[in-house]
Amino acid sequence: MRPVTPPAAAAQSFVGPGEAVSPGRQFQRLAGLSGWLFRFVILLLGWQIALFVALFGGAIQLSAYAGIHILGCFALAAWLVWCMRGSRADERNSTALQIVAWSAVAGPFGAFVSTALASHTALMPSRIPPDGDADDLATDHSAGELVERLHIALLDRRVRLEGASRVRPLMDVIAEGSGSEKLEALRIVYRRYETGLSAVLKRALHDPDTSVRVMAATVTAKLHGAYSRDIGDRQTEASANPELAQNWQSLADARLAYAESGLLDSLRARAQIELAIGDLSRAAELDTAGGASASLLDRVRRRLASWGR
Amino acid sequence: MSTDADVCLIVEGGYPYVVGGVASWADALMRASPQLTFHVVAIGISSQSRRRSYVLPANAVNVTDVILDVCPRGRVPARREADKIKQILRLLEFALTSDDGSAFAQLIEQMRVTGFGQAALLDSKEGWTAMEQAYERLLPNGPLLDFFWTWRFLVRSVLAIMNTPLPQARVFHAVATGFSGVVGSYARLVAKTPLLVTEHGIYTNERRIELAVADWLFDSKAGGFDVASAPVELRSIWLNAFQSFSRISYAMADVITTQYRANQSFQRADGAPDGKLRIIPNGIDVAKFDTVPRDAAPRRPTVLMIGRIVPIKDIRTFIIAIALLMDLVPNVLAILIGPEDEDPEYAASCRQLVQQLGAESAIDFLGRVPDVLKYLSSADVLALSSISEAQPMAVLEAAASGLPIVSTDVGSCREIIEGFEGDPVEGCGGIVVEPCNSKAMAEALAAILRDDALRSQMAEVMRRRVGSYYHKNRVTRLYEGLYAELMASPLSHRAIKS
Repeated sequence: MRPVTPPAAAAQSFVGPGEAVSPGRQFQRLAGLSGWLFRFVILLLGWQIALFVALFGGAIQLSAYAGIHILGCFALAAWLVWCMRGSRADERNSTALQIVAWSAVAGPFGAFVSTALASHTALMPSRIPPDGDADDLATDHSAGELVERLHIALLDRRVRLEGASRVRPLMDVIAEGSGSEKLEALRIVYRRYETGLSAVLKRALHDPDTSVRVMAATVTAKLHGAYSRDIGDRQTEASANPELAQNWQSLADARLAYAESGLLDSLRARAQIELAIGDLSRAAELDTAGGASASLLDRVRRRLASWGR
Repeated sequence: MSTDADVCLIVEGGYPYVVGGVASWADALMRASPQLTFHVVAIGISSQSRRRSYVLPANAVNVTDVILDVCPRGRVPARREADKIKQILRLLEFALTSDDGSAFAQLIEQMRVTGFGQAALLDSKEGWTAMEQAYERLLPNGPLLDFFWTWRFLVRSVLAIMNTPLPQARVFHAVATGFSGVVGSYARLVAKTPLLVTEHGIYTNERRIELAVADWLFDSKAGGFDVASAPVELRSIWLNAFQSFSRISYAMADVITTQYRANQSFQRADGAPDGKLRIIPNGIDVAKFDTVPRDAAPRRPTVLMIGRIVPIKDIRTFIIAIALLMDLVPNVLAILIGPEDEDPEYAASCRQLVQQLGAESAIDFLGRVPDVLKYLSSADVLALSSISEAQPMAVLEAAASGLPIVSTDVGSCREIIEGFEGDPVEGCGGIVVEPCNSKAMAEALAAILRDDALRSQMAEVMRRRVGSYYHKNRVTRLYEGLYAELMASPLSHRAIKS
């Protein structure tokens, strides 16, 4: 198999090798703000500075300054709120609204401070919440933009897994490959085991070739051994320090991993989940402050209940 | 001119130091032919214990140890011998990668002429350069340090074999290809003595599986999920060496035997010529087991398992099967007979599993026992959960003593239990289940334990089949006939004269 394009190269390909970047764009990227927001901030700052200079230059009175400032900020805020009502969670409008609020309180200084804060936030790496689902990502503006860019890059072949189409699925290899290919497939299953590969193992256990069956059985036994050893080790830890909630939770984690490995029949997987519930109950009793065990216990109970249905 | 022994039996990693299937077979083979004398060549590594687990039979005249990781230093080479060293190392590389016996024969000749050893071939500047070049050819961009140690071990093992003091024997009998086969091939070329190779399991298949799941071997995962790319990994170096050893052994052997038909297709695929292939099954002393009376005293339904407590026997599946069986046959008792010292960590994990499953009341680990017959007579069924076997003696002995068998579909177990083409005994003597399937094993055991009539019928089939095909006397006659045939060959006469 030819080497897969590394992530750094893929990231580079979004920009494109010959793309010219103007100084203004560079400043904008540095500020970390999107195009519309950038223009909005420049206009707001210009207006605020001009008003301030006019006040100190004696061109307008303080009352006129205050009136124009308050009315202007109110009008801008109202317009932004009106813009936001259509689109849920528009990050640009809410950032602009915050900048307007700051400038209403502290004039051009407030606008400066809030712009600086907004730029800093925009430059922070994005963090996808661990429990975030696909819907959240799809509605997120920056994520959507990223997906579109990736799509285009894939279409014009700047990002690709070379020869990926030639890689046969392991299940196909077990079904119709030669003896040595099947053995190689089982080696890969062992080295990169995940739940989805259990079907490949199960099929290989019925292969007409004895060596393939023996290899499949060896891999299966090794994987069972690894999961059981992990449970055994954590059981020993929990027995040695039964007052530590963490030990019981870790034991439950090991049992759940075994239950979800795809190696167990449903009866034995269920038994492992039940044992994990016992361990988590114990952890929840000990961990009165944290609550992590309790929430996991709740999730596992729900899963066991849905299993029964 | 007299010889040291009639037969030189070459065994790897087992007899007389480690208890196991092949070791028991070797012991039984010698005891079955007291009129023949045997010299045992035991191959091992320096870290292995050399405490004997077997009392040698009276006709075993001597034991020679070959320690693979210890080889003579040899003489320090002169500067002008650099080309000769390079030439020998090229032959060595060929012998360790893709030989069919020709490079090995040249290598032996060159080594005999030059008297080189570790000093010239591994510890010299030329030796280092050759290792670097071999690294570039065999494991480019792989971990050099790993290659260095692998290369060093393999070269040392060949040097150790070539410095083995060969006993004077009329026939050399290598039990397996691999290192045993290389020692046998060396004897065949140097002493010009006939070579018999017996394979219980197929050596290259076993090593291939062992290497694929070996956690001590670095695996770069460079090939991803592609089975066609076959990236060069350290395991390929080992596997190529073992395949090369097999080809050398098959090329040098006069006769190649195995115990059952399925193995022959693998031997052919690895290059064994059809004309050399023969089948000789394992044999047992049927009378010894057949005459043991069944224990009629009331007892719990009893499942017997005989075997070392090691991963290849998949004792864990057996334990889980017994835990499931407790629901199907209340009061069931499972007795495990076999040593636990070969892999104490695995044995401990098995005991831990019994506790995890709450099956302490149903499973007894007895370790080694002095008298297996006592347990065979008081059990109802024998179970075998192995992942890999050839023709297990435990199954044959249990069958001869009138026990039905539940076994995984490994080696020739199906042949033994269900019969084979041309088998005069019809019927099944037990149930064959797929490996790693504890549920299937529990159900099969329950079916036999619950049905007295079925149990008796299966026991009878097993007794008759073992009595007719796997009888020790028949098998002994086959081996003695083969030895006589090889001893009578002109090659053997030439060896004795020389």
